[in-house]
Amino acid sequence: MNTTGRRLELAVMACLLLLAVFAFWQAALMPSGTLSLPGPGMLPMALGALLALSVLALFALRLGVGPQSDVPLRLGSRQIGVCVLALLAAGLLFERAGFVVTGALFLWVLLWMLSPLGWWRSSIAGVAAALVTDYLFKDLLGVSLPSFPWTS
Amino acid sequence: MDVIQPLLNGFAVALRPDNLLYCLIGCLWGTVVGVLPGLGPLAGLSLLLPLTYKLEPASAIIMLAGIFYGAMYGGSTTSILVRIPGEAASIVTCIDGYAMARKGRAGPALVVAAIGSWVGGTASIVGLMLFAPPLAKLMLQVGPAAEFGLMLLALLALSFVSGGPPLKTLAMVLVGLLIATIGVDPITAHPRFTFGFIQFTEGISFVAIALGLFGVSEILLNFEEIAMVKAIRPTLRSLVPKLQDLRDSAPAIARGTVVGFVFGFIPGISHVVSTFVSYAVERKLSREPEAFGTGKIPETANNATTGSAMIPLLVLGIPAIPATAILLSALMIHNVQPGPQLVAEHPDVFWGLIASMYIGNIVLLVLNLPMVGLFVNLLRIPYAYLAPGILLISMVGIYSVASNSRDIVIMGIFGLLGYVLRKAKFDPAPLLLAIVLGDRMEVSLRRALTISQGDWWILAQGAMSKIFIGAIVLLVALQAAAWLFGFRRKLADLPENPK
Repeated sequence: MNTTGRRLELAVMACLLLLAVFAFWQAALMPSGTLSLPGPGMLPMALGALLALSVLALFALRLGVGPQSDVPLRLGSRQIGVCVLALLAAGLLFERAGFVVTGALFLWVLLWMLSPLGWWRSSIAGVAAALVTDYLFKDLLGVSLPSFPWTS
Repeated sequence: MDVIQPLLNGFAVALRPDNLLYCLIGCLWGTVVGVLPGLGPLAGLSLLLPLTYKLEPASAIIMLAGIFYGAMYGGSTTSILVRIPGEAASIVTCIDGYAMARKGRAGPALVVAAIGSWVGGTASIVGLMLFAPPLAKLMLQVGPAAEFGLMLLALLALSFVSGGPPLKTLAMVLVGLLIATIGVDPITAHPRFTFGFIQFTEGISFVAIALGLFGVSEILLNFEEIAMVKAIRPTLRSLVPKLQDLRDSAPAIARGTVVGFVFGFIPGISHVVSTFVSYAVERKLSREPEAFGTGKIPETANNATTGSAMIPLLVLGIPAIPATAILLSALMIHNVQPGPQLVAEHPDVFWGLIASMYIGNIVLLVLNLPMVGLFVNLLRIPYAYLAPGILLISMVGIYSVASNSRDIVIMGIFGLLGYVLRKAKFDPAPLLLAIVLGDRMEVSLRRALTISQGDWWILAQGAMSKIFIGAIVLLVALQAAAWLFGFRRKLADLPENPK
């Protein structure tokens, strides 16, 4: 996606402002105690307010500079999208399908999409690497990893 | 104060064959992650963290510390031979190191860098050894009010001194503190920001956030930046430096050591800033400043920060940089609480670590130069193969911390967040350090207020509290003055008649 440094910066600031407002609102629903003996909501509420103030100050400074020093920026790519989606999917699959299945699928997708290996070479490399990693971490180093779903 | 006997006991721990092996593994892995672009000390530490769970605390910290200072060494190799900083602290080394290599002087550049790294690293360990125990004794008298002041000072120093725009850093600190509040309230056990999910009652895994913000986001950024590179290959014979090279670089190494050690205390990006300051100092003092950029080399200051960055971690339990935040979590996983009582309660860990750092620095000096060719070959591995492997091991590492696959998802989300933040020029390091300190800061404040029955003046009572509050006031005043001065200068630069 093509954007500019200034646009991205403003977008991040807007997200931070939303986060600040959301945190303040949620913290206001918690018992806040008194100023002399603060409750659980007092600190998040103060942090939300301070964050909102600092982001507003950032907005004022950034908008004051103007777009003249803006630089074009490339945000994201196919590889980045594949990596993030594969990681999220692996997180959801990990305990359901076990490490070997998840790891093999994860490596297969990434190698197929990112490297010059074809889909079948990637699948062999993925399975082999997942099995080796499983043996290394689980059997040799004693790290607890989820097993095949049909063995538990 | 007697440091000889405890140090000898430390050497007895560090020289055990198993600990020597862990030190060697840590140093080698640290060098590898320092060499490979896209894998800094933080990702290197996170990846090897699960391997330390079954080790004794002293062995675990010896190995992990080896990664930390090994990465500082490794970064110089690729900076000099390929002009790629393996990690951020080596950016300055690229400028003159690569210029020397192109002139056919890669060997002397590598040797001077290695010797400079060794001198800086070793001198900083001496400083750690001398300063940490008395500071720990002093800090034992600190109550919750002063502890709150200290942590507030650390976070403010991070916001104002860490190099980026202070308001952006402050925003990141505040986001980190907000994330730290997720989970049950430490005093009343009231759930905060859990939204009814029982999984969030213990908060969000710090290691998942660290690995996502730094490890995964670095990999994502590298997809856009890394191209295959051609390395300059020095011969073994060329690694022998001339006496003149060593004589010329000795004063710069000494000054770099002092700059690095002092900057190691500053929270944030001390190891990076120290190299730039060291470079600026050398340029200022040089009789031929125009020669800089063509073959003068500073590679000491970043190594000198390793020892001093350990002082706030081991004595105060405050990590000055993200890499020491991982060391903090490693110690806590082994039920070792870093802080003033560490020296007294776990002398084997403290002195064993110091002794192992002396050994590790020698190991790095002896091993690194003959193995330069091997390390350079690592750069030939295409990133398309390296990245999936690193991500898979990260997945194993993060799962093994709490046996919870939710942490993999969190790592992915924070990886994307780190990528976007870095693209938008928001430094995620303050966010991470605020997460580490947030919980303790809140507990200290609320305990102090409970003790004083709600009197906020307790924060300014006692000698230590007064020192910290004074430092905070001074820091804020300096920042305000700098801001006002800059603002007035901007106004003065405006044309008198805007029409």
